[in-house]
Amino acid sequence: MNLLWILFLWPGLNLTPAPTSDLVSDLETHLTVGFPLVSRSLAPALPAAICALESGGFALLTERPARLRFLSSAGTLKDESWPLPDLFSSPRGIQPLRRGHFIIIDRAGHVGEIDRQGKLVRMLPGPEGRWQAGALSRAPGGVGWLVTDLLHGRLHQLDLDGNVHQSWSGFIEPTGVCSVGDHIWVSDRGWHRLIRFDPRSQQPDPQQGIGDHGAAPGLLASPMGLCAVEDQFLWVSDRDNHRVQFFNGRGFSMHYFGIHSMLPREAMGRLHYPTAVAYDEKAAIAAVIEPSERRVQLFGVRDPEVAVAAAELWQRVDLVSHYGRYWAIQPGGRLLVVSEPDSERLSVLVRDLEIPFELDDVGGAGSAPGRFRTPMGVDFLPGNDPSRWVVADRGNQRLQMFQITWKEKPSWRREPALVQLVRTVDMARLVQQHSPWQSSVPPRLAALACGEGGIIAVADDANERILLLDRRFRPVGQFESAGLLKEATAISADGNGFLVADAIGGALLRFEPGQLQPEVIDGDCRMPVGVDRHPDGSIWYTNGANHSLLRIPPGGGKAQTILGGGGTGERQLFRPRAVRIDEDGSVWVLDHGNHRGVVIDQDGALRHFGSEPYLPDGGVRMRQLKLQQKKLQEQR
Amino acid sequence: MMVMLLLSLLALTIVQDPPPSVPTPSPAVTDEKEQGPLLDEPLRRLALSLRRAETPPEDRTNRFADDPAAAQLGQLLFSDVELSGDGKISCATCHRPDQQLVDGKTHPRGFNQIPRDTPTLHDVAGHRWWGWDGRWDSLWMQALGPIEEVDEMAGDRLQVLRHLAATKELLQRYQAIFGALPDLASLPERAIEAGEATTGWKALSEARRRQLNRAFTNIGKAIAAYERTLRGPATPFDHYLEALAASDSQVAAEYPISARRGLILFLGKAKCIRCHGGPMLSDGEFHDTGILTSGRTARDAGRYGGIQELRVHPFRSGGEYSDDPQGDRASRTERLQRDAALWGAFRTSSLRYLVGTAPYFHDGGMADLRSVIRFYTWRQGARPSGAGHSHQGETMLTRIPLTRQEEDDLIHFLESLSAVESSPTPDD
Amino acid sequence: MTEFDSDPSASSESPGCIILVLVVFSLLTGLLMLLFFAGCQAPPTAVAPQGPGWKSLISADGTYQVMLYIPDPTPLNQEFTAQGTVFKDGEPISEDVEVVFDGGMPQHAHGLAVPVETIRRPAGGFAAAGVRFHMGGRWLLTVDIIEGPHLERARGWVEIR
Repeated sequence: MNLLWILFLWPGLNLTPAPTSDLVSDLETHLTVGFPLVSRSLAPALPAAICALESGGFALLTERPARLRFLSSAGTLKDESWPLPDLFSSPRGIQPLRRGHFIIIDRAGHVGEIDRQGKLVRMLPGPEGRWQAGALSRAPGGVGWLVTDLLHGRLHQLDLDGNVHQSWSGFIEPTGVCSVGDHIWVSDRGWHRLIRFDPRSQQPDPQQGIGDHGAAPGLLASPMGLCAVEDQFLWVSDRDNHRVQFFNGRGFSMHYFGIHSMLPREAMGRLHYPTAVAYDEKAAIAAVIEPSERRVQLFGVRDPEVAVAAAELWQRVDLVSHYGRYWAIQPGGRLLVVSEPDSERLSVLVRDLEIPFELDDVGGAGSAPGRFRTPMGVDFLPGNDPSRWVVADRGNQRLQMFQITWKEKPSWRREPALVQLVRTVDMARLVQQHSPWQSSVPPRLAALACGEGGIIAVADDANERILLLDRRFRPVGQFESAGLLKEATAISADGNGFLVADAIGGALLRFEPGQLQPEVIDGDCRMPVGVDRHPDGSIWYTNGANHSLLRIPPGGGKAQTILGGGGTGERQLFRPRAVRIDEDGSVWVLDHGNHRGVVIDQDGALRHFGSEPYLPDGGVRMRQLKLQQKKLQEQR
Repeated sequence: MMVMLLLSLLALTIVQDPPPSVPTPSPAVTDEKEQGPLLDEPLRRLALSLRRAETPPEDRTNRFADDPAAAQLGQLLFSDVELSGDGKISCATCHRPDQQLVDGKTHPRGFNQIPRDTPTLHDVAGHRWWGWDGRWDSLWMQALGPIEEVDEMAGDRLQVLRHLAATKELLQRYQAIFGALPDLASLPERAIEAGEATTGWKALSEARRRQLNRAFTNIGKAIAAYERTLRGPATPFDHYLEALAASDSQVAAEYPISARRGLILFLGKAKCIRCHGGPMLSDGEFHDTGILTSGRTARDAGRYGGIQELRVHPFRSGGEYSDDPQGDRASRTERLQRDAALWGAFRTSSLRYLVGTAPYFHDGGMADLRSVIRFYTWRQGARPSGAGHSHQGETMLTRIPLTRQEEDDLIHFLESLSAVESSPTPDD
Repeated sequence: MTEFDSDPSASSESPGCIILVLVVFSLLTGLLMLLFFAGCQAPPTAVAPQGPGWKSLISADGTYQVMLYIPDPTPLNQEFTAQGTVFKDGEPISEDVEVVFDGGMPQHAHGLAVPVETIRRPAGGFAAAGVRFHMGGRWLLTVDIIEGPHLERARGWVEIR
């Protein structure tokens, strides 16, 4: 048993790139950080940003509610917390200032200085125009700040007064930034890379970035927050790999810790979508925040007396794929298509079995046709000969259409290449070519639905509108309604119009071509994230804030909660997203946070499928059925 | 009427996209059917596709590749221990002429001390890429790699050139082929130290560095010219294939029946030829076959890392030291792209000369041929794959249960690809 | 548009034979015309494959026809140039239309071991040098035609035994 920890340490000990003797010992220390120390819940708030304090410990920003909190390196979370100024309801970054104040940024593009009680000291100008703040750090040399803009894929260097000093573009989704020595490092979720450059002499070149999409050591899957160490190394929260990686200044992955949590809300070293890390260098304590779990965990130096878990030695090289936020039901057919951004894929399942069977999948990270960078909204086109669907490929700024020519017979075998790419359209280019659509901000595609006559409605969140195209991806119109529509979080076809759930605006709307204003179905809805019309005329929607599925009766009226409560119980949901209703009235809810699907059939009976630990019976029934399926497969 | 008839005719000739279906298995091979020594079609055609090439493929990136004088110089350098930092190691130390040009060991290399098995140099010129991870795209480029590798020969180009200048015979040979050596006065001790360029080297003018690099690459080209002559001895399988080509059933019948049965399995039921085809019994490309790894071996990026190293290396086929920087080889390298799917993929081994070149696989993880076969057939020592697991790795490697007899036959076939008698395979 | 003449002129003696002769004569004349015109202009709606190795692929929505040449028999482990011509409504595509050729084995989840670049040639032509099928089995060939922001894919299969 004692030998095991040597195996764990050995790769670390040999990775020293010949620095001075003092640094050798510190590096060795950093390379043994990863032992879970403590887990602190922040529920119901979500941790949004974290930074280390010079005096030791960490400062945290949360959202819902937006507050400032402090955590010591010993793991004590101070009870007292301070509300943030109103403009900072969705904070995204925090950096300490010398006089005990902090610089913070908000998703909506605000930059400000607050004191230790969260009071606003001053606003800083920041970049002009609309922008969406992603991350914040110090600039190289400590002179000024770096902020990333997710809307335009840009990085800005601000001076100490908050004015833009220099900007760089070419990023897809710059989710993290930090300075290491003279270099700036940007983590880009769209590229799944760390892009490193010297701002004095270079332009950032994503093609030279470090890493690619994958789970092996040195690869990344949705890298997010970065944190510099001793101005030579950096921690990277490798979000979809559920781990934190340690790189040296040359981009070499030297170490990582964190294992994907297998059980719901599992803690003590298990990570679940970590989005940021902060590091107390003196204490060698790393603090990792996981918004999906509403918690912060501390990791320290491994105690040599404690055995290494077998799972830590098992070096998997596969990406774990989970259901994303959107799925679609084949009209009059058996298929279900679900986007899985974790693995940059789209899965096609045969849905009318007790456990849906994955028939084929398409994708993989990349820019080539048939590949994705964050697949988002998906929906089937009307008509089944052949069956086609459209998916919004956000990172590549395009729509992709696929078709499947699967002969509907019982088949328990995965058949690659059933799914064919039909066509794609470069939306950034199309928007520029079609003058009614032109805008200064490139489109940011998200939700999508296909309506009557094959009209495709796709959300363009960057411009608060919905673009309409035909089956050949030619523009036919748009829905926009300044003020009423903030973000089309979910769209579904509804007769000759479309239902829209706006999570930011807090409204359920119905748009119809030819009408200037949408119909407001519910203007005071808390964070609707999925919506669809039932054949009986009722409207069903999911609420992302209180994890529920609600039903508005036909003709309007008070919404009734059908499923609810943040948990993994049979009648519970956790961060649900899309809802799609079949022609026979069965309701399909994508229970995203529980990695599962929930189906309510016409009789009200519930069915679950997906990730085994999250199923109400712990996956017992699913395992039995999978075994049966496997036997049938082997018999063929 | 005429136009309609014509259009109908044309319509009939258009090939429609056939309905996708599970691919038909390759040639209808049955091991139940008795195959004569000359084999029936299509087995015979497939077997003949494994015939060794008469000469190694052309290498235009090295204009001295087939120069006998360069080969003679290369032979001297190959066993010259003065090329190493401590004066104790030559290429021949690990590629032992008395041991099938291997040393039977794996050597840890690089930042992560990742173990790599010493590959044999028999027929080495027949590869498309060199190194388990394909980090070298020509034989001369590969020859230079271990010389400066810290964990291998730990030598240095400047030291090598100084040694050349100081050794009369080497100098004369060099000058006769390549012309004068560059001026070696006032040079730093080393060009590379612990994998980094030294300050002294960086301080030299670019023109001077180029001259020195060119001389260094000339040495690589000479070694490569020698290595191109390392044609492995004729094997029983080669004799059999010649008999097959000449339809000489008498000579063909001398090939052991067990090995012939193994060949039939190789071409059919065991599907080895899918990747191990062609004259080298290798497709020359890279696959992740699902080898179970842990610790250091689990950090081996394989082809993914190899591509990144190769694309920026000054000695690659498209670089200025190549004699054909616009040619096919260079084009191949320039077209390579980063692909995370190739993480942990390694070069398909040639199956020639396996006897005496154990252990096997890139990390030397398989001690004998039976383990190798069981890795592929029973998936012993392989990562779990299939539904619920990743899209990483070769998806076509599924279990192919072979009987003990079939395993023995396959081993006998593989052994017939060597010219050395094997020791009896251990019973387990 | 020529209407199909379903009532050819008949003689009083043996109408069946005469009809047959006329049909054969029409076919022969048509073929001769095709051969004559093939070098001058493409037929209005479809193009015939030109011999062994040529395949005709229709894009997914029928917008384009791709005449693709892969050597026959399809080489294994040897580099070759895949080439062809793309037609739209029977006419070769214009110079500003991009064409991208690629190949892969979806059953084995991999593409070409070394990617290829596709260049345009005059009169709707394209070529991709350095294609190498490194494994036997079924290869999926795709030709993407890109006009402005729109891409449409044509695909076909080839089998190497």
